[in-house]
Amino acid sequence: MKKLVGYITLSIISMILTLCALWIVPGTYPHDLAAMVNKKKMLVSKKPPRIIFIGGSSQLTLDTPLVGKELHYAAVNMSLWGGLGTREHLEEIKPYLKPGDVVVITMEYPAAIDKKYVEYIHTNKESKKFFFLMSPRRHMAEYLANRQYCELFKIVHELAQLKAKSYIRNLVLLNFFHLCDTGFPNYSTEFNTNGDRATPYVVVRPLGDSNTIFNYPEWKNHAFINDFTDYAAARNVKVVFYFSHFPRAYYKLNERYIDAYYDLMKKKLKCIVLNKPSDFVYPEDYFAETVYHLNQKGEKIRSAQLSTMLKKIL
Amino acid sequence: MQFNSIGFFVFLTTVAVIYYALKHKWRWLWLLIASFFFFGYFCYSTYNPEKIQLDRYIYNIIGVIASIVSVIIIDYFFGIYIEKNRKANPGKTKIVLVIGIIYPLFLLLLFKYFNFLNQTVGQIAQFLNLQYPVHMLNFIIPLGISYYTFHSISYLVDIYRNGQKAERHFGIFSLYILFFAKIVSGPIERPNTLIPQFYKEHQFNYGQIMDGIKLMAWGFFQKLVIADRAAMVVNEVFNRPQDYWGIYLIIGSLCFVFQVYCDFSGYSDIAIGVAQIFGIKLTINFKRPYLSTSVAELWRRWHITLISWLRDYVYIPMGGNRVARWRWQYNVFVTFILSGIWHGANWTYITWAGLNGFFILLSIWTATVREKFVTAIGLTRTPRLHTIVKISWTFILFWLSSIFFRANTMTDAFYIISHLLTGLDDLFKTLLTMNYDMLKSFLVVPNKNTFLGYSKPAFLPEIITLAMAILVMEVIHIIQEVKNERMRDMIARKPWYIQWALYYGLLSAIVFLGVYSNQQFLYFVY
Repeated sequence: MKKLVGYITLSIISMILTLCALWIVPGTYPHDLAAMVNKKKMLVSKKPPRIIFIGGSSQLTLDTPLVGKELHYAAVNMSLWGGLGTREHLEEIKPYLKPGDVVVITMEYPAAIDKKYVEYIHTNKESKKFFFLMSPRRHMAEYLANRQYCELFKIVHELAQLKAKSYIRNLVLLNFFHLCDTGFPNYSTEFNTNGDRATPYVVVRPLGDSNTIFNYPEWKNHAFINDFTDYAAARNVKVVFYFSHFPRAYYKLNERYIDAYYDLMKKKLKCIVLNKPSDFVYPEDYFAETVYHLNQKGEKIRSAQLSTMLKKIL
Repeated sequence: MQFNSIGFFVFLTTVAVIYYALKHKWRWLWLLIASFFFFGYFCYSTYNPEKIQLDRYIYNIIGVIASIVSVIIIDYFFGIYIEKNRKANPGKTKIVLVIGIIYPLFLLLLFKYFNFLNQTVGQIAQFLNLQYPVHMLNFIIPLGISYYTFHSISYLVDIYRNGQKAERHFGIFSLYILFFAKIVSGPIERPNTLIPQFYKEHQFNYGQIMDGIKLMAWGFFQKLVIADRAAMVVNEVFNRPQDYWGIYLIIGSLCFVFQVYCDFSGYSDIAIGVAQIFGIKLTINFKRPYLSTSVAELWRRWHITLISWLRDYVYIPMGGNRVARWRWQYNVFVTFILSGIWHGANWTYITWAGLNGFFILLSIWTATVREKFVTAIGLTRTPRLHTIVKISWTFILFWLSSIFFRANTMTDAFYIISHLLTGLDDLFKTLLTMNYDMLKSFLVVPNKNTFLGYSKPAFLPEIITLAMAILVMEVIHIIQEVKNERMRDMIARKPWYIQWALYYGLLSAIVFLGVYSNQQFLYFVY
């Protein structure tokens, strides 16, 4: 019996040690959201004053070098996916803000006023995993303080699994030069140095709309922006909010909800509200494959418009 | 409680520790309590308040428990009756036997096949322009019903036919039906091999327990690293076959061939390993079927306990091969069709089984021609190459038939088969001309954000991991086949550091490459 227990204990210890080793050694994570790690590195590496964009994939094609050049800021596009959660995203960048920075926030409509999607965002475990990866020490301390040991183990284990698979891929493909890369393995080909998407979205018709159900907005889902604005103001950081683009037909269909959303934000937000939702309403031929993603033509116009609007207030 | 869940590990450890702490005379009771708990917990875990109301669910569960308890009680008393009256009153005994066989089969028919038959009658009625109200019954299918039905039939038939002693101990008999290691998906055990083991006193045996744990680990490797990883590709392709063609359908259907094997073989290895921890030996269910040199041989190595059950209780009573040639071939075909029906109430299963039966008949009919052809082309002079050709051919036939096994409908199956070669000419041309840009275009499926079920960045690492794991498994199979020895015995002769390195590798693969989405075992539904 002792021998059996001994061997089982030894096996468990060896697995825990392997887990620790996998956690420590550098490596990539073959998951789109791992780009968060690369984006954090980019944010840290850019010198202030910076203009930091926080949003979903709708903001990924933004021409940030153009905006940065026009406004004389170092542009950092931290946007990645609407499902990540703006509240959590803002929490992540807090420690890296410097005086003089400008944070530009936008939220895609489902992330703002689709009740079910909002609920999904805040319970999405996939996002938690990659936010953890952005600041592991801080999150680890939080999990330990909250006694969420199982959750913590699960996240570390799943991340180690991703890294192990990445190693296998690199070893089999004899990709030895990239064994020590970090973050998302395809980051350098899929994103530019400012964090924008390197290639435009493919145009597909009909446009996908992810079956968003519009509801009237609830302030509790947006109050975090004011908290962040207070935090930023104390550090001499400006916060700007703008309403995302949307195709004309979809806007008309949901106008009353979007207007209510605008009224609420205009009334309650402490930060600068840059535009009205109707300012960024475009015809369908400006869009790529979904109602959230602009094609090259649409992006050119949106970037220029945004740049002009920002210029007025900065 | 699934074998691949944390809950099961806690359950198994608790049951094993208490089992060895108890005196022998109480162990059967402890295993029975544990089996009831396992069965009950499994029923409880199927409750989904979004799908079924609580009161309705409770009625269903009462039905599920009543069905298995009634089978146990009927079999127990009928078994004793048959044993006592077999010689004195053969007529009455036969009637009791028939009732004893029909009762579990009736339950099986009611729970598993009623809706299928009802729907088929409805379709026929519709075709004939007749009115037929198709009322589907919303049942929870009792856990392991296909398996305990077979256990119960073989018990009564063996008493009647082979002089198997009827079990007098009601608790032990209940354990024979309910033993948690095999209740869900077998192996289908015969009474004369399993019941005596419950009487035998099993001492704590380190070697035997470690052997069981190693077998479980191998089962988990097959299930978590291969089957559940392949499942992502399989589910994507088979649930939306019209979105794919050629190479994608080939990859998807090949993944299924390995998924179904690794899932069920993995489950069987875990079940055998679990039983071994308690000193109980269950029958091996798979013997490297994909290294078979003929379809007939493959079926002697695949789901061995089911096939041998069908052989002993269906094929041989029909006359087996000791009848006229046409009748023998009829017996083979009917046995296969029955195995298809056992798998599920769907034409896809019946077609799959029928195809395999047909392949066997075809091999009988063409045996002479094939022999002459092989001699003519000189393959007989290179026996190794001949064996490889036979293995490959058998695998291809099984692969093609398995498309029917997995397809959701017959239309889907025909679509997949008819589109397997679409676009392959372009792919070959691209490969031959080394046009890598063109080759990259095969990695893009129109209108899809994912690639064969995986996100684009995840696809390559996942598919490489899958391919490597299959390669490792097949290499192990080939070594076992050539040396005709268990891998564990071969490893045991190696120096300790090699043993540790190999087991460390296996454990690491399970922990770091396993898919932990808690996917159900495929054969739980059969």
